[in-house]
Amino acid sequence: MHANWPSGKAKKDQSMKDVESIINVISELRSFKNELNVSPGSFIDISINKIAKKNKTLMTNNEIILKKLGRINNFFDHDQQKPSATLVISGDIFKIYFDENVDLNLIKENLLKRQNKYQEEMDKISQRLSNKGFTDRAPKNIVEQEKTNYSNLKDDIKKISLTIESL
Amino acid sequence: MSKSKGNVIDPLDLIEKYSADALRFTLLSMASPGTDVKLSEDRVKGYRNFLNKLWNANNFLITNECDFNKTDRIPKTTLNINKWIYSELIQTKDKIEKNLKDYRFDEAAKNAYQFAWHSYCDWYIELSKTILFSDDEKSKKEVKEVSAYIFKQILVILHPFIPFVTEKIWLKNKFDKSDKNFPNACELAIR
Repeated sequence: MHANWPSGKAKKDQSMKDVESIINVISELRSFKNELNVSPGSFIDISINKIAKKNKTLMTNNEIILKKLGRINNFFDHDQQKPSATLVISGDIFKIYFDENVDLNLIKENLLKRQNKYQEEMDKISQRLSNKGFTDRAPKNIVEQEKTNYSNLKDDIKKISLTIESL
Repeated sequence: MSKSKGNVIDPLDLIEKYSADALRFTLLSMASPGTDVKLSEDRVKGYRNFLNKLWNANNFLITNECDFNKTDRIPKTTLNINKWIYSELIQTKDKIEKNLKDYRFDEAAKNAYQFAWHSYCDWYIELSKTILFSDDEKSKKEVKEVSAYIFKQILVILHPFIPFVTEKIWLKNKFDKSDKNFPNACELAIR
C-alpha cells in the first residue's frame, strides 16, 4: 500500500453549516423518539410553523433527506388540530405529530412513573448526604460519587418534566 | 488480569477469534498514558464490528459503481454534503497529526474511528443515498467520485492502526494503480 498522507485545507462555509444543521435536526428527532419510548422506525408529521424563516427554507430545500432519514411523512406550514409534542432544536420550536397508534397518555404515564422513581432515589441519596456519620466516615470518592449521582438525577427529573410539559 | 484469579485473556485466542487488527486497534484506543488497560473481550468485539463496517462501506461503494480510478486528488465539489465530508476529513487529519506528534496514539486512533464510522458511514453514506438513488446524473457522478476519494483517504489514515484490513481493501480496489504521487521502489532505486 503506497500512498501520501492526506493533505489540503478546507474552509468552513455556510453549506457545511447547513449540513450540520440537518444532521442536528435528524439526531434530535431520533433522540426525542427514544426518550418517549416511541419506535425509532415509526413515521411522524412535523409542523414548521414556528421556526425561523431562514431555517424554514433550509428544511424545504432538504425535504427529501429529512423525510427519509428523519422518518417524516409530512411537513406542515400550519399547526394541526391534533395531539402533538413540542421539540425545541437550536431555538426553533417544532410540533411533532405521532402516528395514531402512539398513545401520548401512556407515554406521559410512563414518564411520570420514571420521574417518581428518580425522585425516590434522589431522596435516599439526600438522606445519606445529610447524615453526618456517613459524610465523615465514608471514603471521599464515595461521597463525591453520591453527590454526582444526586445532581445527575436532578438533571434527569428536569428533562422529564420538560418532556411531559411538551406533550 | 491475574494468573491466580484465572482471568487472563490470551491475545492469541483473541486474534484467532476477532483478528489481529481488532486486537491492535483495541489496545491502541485504550492505551491512554498513565492508565492501565482494562481489556475485555467485548471491547475487541466492538472494534471487530468496526472492521466489518469498513468492509461493508467498501461493498456499498462497489455496488453503487463508485469510481475508484479518479481518486488521486479531490474531485470538484459542488454539493453541500461533499464539501462537508471533505472539510471533516481535513479536520480529522489535522487532529490525528497533532495527536501522533504528541504520542497520543489512543486519541489519534479515536479520531480516525470517529470519522470513519460516524461522519462517513453513519452520515455521509446515508445522506448520499438520496442522491445515488435519484435521477440527477451530474450529482450522482460527483457523489460517486467523492465517496471513493474520501474512502481511499480513510484507508490511508487508518492504515497505521489497522494495517491488514486496510491493505486488503486497498488491493481489492486496485488503488495502487491510480496513485501516481508516491514513487515506487524501482523509481527510488533508479534515482
